[in-house]
Amino acid sequence: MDLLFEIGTEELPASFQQPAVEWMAAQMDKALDDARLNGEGEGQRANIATYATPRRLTLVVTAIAERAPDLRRKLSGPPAKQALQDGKWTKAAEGFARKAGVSPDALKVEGDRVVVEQNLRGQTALEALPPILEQIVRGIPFRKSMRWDWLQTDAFARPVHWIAATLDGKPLSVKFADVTSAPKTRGHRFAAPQEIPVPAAREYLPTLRKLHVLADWAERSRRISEEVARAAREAGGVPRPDPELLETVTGLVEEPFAVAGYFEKEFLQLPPEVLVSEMRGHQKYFAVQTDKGELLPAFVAVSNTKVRDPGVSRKGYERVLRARLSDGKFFFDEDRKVPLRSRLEKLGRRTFLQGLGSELERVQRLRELALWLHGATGRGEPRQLADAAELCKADLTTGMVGEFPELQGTMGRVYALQEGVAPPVADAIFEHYLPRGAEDRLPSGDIGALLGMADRLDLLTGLFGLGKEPTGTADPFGLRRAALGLLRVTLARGYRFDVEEALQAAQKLHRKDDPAVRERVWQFLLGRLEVLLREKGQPDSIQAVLHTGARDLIALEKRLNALQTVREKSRAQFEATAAAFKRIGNILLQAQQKGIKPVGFHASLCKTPAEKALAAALEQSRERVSTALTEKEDYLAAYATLAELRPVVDRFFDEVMVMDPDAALRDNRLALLRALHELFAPLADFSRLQVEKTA
Amino acid sequence: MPDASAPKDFQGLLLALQSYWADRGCALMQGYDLEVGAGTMNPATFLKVLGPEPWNVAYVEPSRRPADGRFGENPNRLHQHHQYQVILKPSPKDVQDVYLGSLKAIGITSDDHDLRFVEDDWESPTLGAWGLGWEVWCDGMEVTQFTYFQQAGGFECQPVSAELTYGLERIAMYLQGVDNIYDLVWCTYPDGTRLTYRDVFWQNEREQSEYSFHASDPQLLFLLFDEYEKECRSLIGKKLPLPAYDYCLKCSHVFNLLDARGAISVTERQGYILRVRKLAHDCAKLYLATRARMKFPGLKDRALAEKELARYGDLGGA
Repeated sequence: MDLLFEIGTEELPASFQQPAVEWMAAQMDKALDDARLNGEGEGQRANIATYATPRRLTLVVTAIAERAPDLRRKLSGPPAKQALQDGKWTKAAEGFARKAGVSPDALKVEGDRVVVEQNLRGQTALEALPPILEQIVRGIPFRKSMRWDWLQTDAFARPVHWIAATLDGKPLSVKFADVTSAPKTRGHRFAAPQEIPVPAAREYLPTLRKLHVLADWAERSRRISEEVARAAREAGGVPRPDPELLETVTGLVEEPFAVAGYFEKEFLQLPPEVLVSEMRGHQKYFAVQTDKGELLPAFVAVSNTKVRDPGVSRKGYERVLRARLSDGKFFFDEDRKVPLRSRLEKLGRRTFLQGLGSELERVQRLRELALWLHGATGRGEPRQLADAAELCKADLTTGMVGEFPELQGTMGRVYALQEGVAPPVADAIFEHYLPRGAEDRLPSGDIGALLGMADRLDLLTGLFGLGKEPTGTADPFGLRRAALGLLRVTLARGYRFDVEEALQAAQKLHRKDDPAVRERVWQFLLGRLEVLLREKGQPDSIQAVLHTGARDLIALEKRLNALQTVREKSRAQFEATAAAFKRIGNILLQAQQKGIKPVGFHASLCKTPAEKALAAALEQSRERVSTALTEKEDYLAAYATLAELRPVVDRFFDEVMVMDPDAALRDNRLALLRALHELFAPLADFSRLQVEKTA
Repeated sequence: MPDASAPKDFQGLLLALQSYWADRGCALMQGYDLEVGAGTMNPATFLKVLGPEPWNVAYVEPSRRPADGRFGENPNRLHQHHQYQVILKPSPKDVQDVYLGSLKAIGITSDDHDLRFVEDDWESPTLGAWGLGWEVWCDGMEVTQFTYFQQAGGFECQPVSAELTYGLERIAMYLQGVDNIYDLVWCTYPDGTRLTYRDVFWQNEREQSEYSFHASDPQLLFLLFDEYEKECRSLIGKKLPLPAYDYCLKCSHVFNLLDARGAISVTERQGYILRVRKLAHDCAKLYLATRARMKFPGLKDRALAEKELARYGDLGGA
C-alpha cells in the first residue's frame, strides 16, 4: 500500500528541511519494522521517499504491507510453585493472565513455570499508521522549536497549517497541535494558494509541479543551478560555484526563477572576498565571474515567484546590494585609515575569552609560542614570525570584519599588503586560520603554519585549563577542530617537536603549570590523531604505535608506516614475532604482579645454551637497533633485526623455563627478557596488536 | 516600482498602515514618551505580551539607537528611525496572510515582487525576550521583522503574540524610489511644496550624533544609570510595575548612550546588559503578579481567566 504524509507549514528555516525529512524517514522505517509492515512480500522492504520545501515536509512510502502477519508467541509467567496452590490458580497467576489478555483457563504449566500461548493478530497498516505518524510529527528534533497561539505542549519549527495523510487514497486521522489531518494540500504560496484534494502517493511530484512546487530537493537544486547559469550567461559570465549557497537557496524557494542584476564597476575595487560575502551572506545572491574566475559587476538572485516584470525585482535587488556595497566601501576606506599595527591598543580592550585575558594578551602569547615552535622545529624566519603574530588578530577591530566575521584573516591580509607588509607575513595573517574545516586547505608557508599551531595550542591549553573541554557532542569553542588543525598541519609539514614540551610552553604563557591538564590535552589530541591516522593503518597498529610513549607526531607516523609495511609485507613472520613479544610482555607483567623486583642482567648467570645465545644475539644487535631507532629513525631496519632475532627467541622459549624455582636464575632470565623488550619498545606496544597466537 | 495606489509620501505610508490595521481590529496607539531603542520596549508590547489577556495594537515608534547615528551623512543609517509596530495576541492562524494584505495596502504585491519569509531568530538580551520568525524580504530587501514571541522578561508568553515590525524609512525609500533617506518626502503641502525628511530630521541627526559620540558626559551617565536603577528597584519594592518599568527604560537608554560613547569596555558591557535584564525581569514579574491580582480583567472568558490564574500563583502576589 502507498502512504502519502505531508506536513504543511509556514516557512521553515532552510537548514531544517532536509534533516527533518531524513529523520522522519528513519523513524518510519523503524516503525514499519516494529509493526511488521515493512514491505509487501517476504524479504522485501517498503520504499521511503522524502520531499522537503520551505512549506512542506513529506514522506511518500510505497509497498507497505497491507497487514502484518499474525504472530503466536509464548509468554512465560511466575514460577509454578507460586502460581498453583491446591490445584487452583493463585492471585499471581490470575494477574499474569490478565496482563497477557487471556482467561486463567488458558494458562499451562511448562517445566517449573506458568506459560501462556498468545495469538497476536497482525495489525493492518490502516490501524497501525496513524499513531506512528503522530509520533513522527511530534518527535522531529528541530534545532529550535516554537509554540503559537494558545498551544502549550506541541511545538514545531514554525506553525503547522495542514497535515495530509492518506493510505491508498484513504484518509488517515492524525492530530497535532491545532491541526487535524485532511486529505488536502496546497500549492505555491502565491501561484497556487487554493486547497486541493491530495493526489495519490505516486502522483505527488507531478501534481505539485503543476501547482508550482518542485517538491524534490535534488530536482529543485538542479533547476536552480540551470536557472542561475542561464541568468549568469545573460550577464556575460558564469556563476561562481558555491554549493553551500545553492543548498541554502534550495531551502528558500518552492519554484525558482533566476534574475541577473548589475552593480557599478567602481565597487570592483573592493577585494573579491568582500564582494562575494556581501552578495552571498545577507542577500543570497550568486556572484558572476569570467571563465578565468575574475568577478564581473553582476550577480544572480533567485526568486520564489514568477513576477510580472522581472525588471522591477531586478531594480530592487540592485538597490539593496548597492546600499550594502556602499557600506562595504565605507568600511574599506575607513579601515585603511588606521594601520593594523595601530590597532593593537584596541585589541587590549577586547576580551578574548572570559578567563583568558584580552585579545592583546592572546597576541603576545602567540608571539612567544610561535617563536618557541620556531626554536623547537628550526623552521620559519623568527622576525617574520613575530611580526605576523603581532598583526594576526588586528583585523578583528576593523569595521569590515565586524560586519563580516567570516572575513577575519582575509581582510588582515588585504590590509597588510596595502600597508606594505612583507608578503610572507601578510599571507600568514590569512593562513594561520587554515584549515578552517575538514575539507579546507592547509597553510602554504611556515609562518602561517607555525602561527596557526601556536594559536591552537594556546586555545587548547587555555580552555582545558579552565575545565572547558568538550563534552559529548557539545564543543562550543571548536576544540575538536583546533586539535585536528594542529595535528594536520604538523603532520603535513613534517614539524618535529615534543608535544608535551609545547603544551608546557603554552601553559607557561597562561601562567600555569599543571601536568594533569597537559595529560588531558594529550589524550584529547591522541583521540583526534587516531581518527586522522585511520587511513594509514589498522586500528590496532595505530593503538600500538600511539602508546610507545613518544610525543613527537612525526615519529609516531613513521612508526605506524613501518609497522604497517612489515605487517603487510611479511604477515606470517611478523605475526609470529609480535606474538612472541606479546608473550614476553605478559611474562614481565605477571612477574611484576607477583611482586618480583627487577634486577640487572648478568651474563655470568646464564646457564643454558639457549639463554646464552639470546643474550649474545641481544648484545650484538643492541647498538644497531638503538641507532636505527633514534638517530636514523630507520624503523624498518629495527624490524629486520627483530625478525633475525626470532629463531633465537623461539629457541629460548622452547628450551628455557623462565620461572625457574631458583630465584636468581629466574630474575636474571626476566632481566634478559626485559632488556630485549625495552630495546624494541619504541617500535610499538606489541600488547595492543591483535595477532594469531603462533608462538 | 510600486503600483499607482502606493502611498506617495512618508505620512501617507503611516496613514495606510494605520487604516489597514485599524480595520483589522487593532487599537491604534502612539509611540511611548520615553526614549526607546525599538517598538518592542514600549510597555504596549513588552508588558502587554505577558499573561493571558488578549491585546491587538498598532503604533508608530520613534526608535533611538545612539550608536547608529552618522551625523546626517549616511544615506541609510539614522540615530532615530521609525518603526511601525503591530502586536496580535494571541497570534492568529492567518497572520501571514493578513500581514501580506498590509503590504498590498501600501502597494507591494506578490504579482510584482519577490516576497519571502526568511528565517530570523529574534532575541533581546536586555529584555530577556526571544522569539522565532522571519525577516520578510521584498526583492531582497528586509521590510519587516516578523516574530512569534516565546518569552519576554524571562517569562513564557502564553498565549504567543505575533509581532510585526516594519522599518518605515526603508519601505518609504523603496516606495518613493530614493537612495538617500534625507530625500524622502514627508508630505506635500496644498501649494505643491514638499517637506522632506531632511527638513524634519537632519539637524536632529547631526546634533544627536554629536551628543552621543562627543558631547555626552560619561560621568553623569554612569551616575544616572546607578540612580535610575536604584529608583527602579525602589518602585518595584513599592509594587508599582509601570513606573518601575519607565526607569528600566531609562537605564537601557543611558546604557546605549554610554555604549555609543565607547565608555563601556567589552567586559563591563555584559555586566550592564545583565543589570538591565534583571530590572526588566523584575518589572515583568511584578506586572504579571499585579494583573493576576486583578484577575486578568482583559480576559473576557472568565473560566479561562480562573484557569490561568493558577499558573501565576507562585509570583508572590503584589
